[in-house]
Amino acid sequence: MRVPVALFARYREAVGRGRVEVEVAEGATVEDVWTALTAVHPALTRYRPHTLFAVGTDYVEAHHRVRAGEEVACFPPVSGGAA
Amino acid sequence: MYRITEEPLSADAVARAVTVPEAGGVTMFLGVVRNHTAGRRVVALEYEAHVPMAEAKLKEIGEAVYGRWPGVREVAILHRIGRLQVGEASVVIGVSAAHRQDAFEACQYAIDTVKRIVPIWKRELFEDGSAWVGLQGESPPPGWNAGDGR
Repeated sequence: MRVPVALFARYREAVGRGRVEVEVAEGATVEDVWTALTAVHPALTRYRPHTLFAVGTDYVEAHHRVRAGEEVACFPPVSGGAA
Repeated sequence: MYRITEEPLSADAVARAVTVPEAGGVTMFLGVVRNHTAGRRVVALEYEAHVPMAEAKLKEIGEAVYGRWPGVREVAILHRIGRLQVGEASVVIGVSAAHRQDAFEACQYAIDTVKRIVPIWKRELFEDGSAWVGLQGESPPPGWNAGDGR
């Protein structure tokens, strides 16, 4: 299945755009999506230890199983707010 | 009122929105762009958000506030994105409560939790370059939900 992936901040810059699609098997996990993503965009590989994942508007763990139609977001630790 | 916006934030409008007859105290927090970081001069900040998720998390934080401080009457959390100049507000939080103690505590909790869980990223623009904030040496936050880490 094709899974849309949203990228933010330095991840978006490393890939050159904020939305990509990756091909993974049915039943794939978020970790599988990350593996497929970094196979095409190896610049992201070194960020894995810090990476946060979300599906829809919720954080998920890397072992979350992606269902057809879900968008996976990958991003670095958040830094909003103020000092 | 929970909103991610590219428009300048109005603390007055937020204060008015949370001021209700049942409230005896209103606490406001404004996060503003500072002109330096680690000794370097900052000329502007750029904020980027996962907008639908960020707005959902702001609402989650507000609901956690109501659950934890029954005296709280109204909560508003707004975060601006895009390029902000020094002195401009990036985040405005307003909390009203029957009594001031709840308003102070809830407002502090709200900004601390915004910084921890809301998917917004900040890039510092210097006179001679720029840098994303928050990656080196950091691990994921201890809890991802507004109710975690109490």
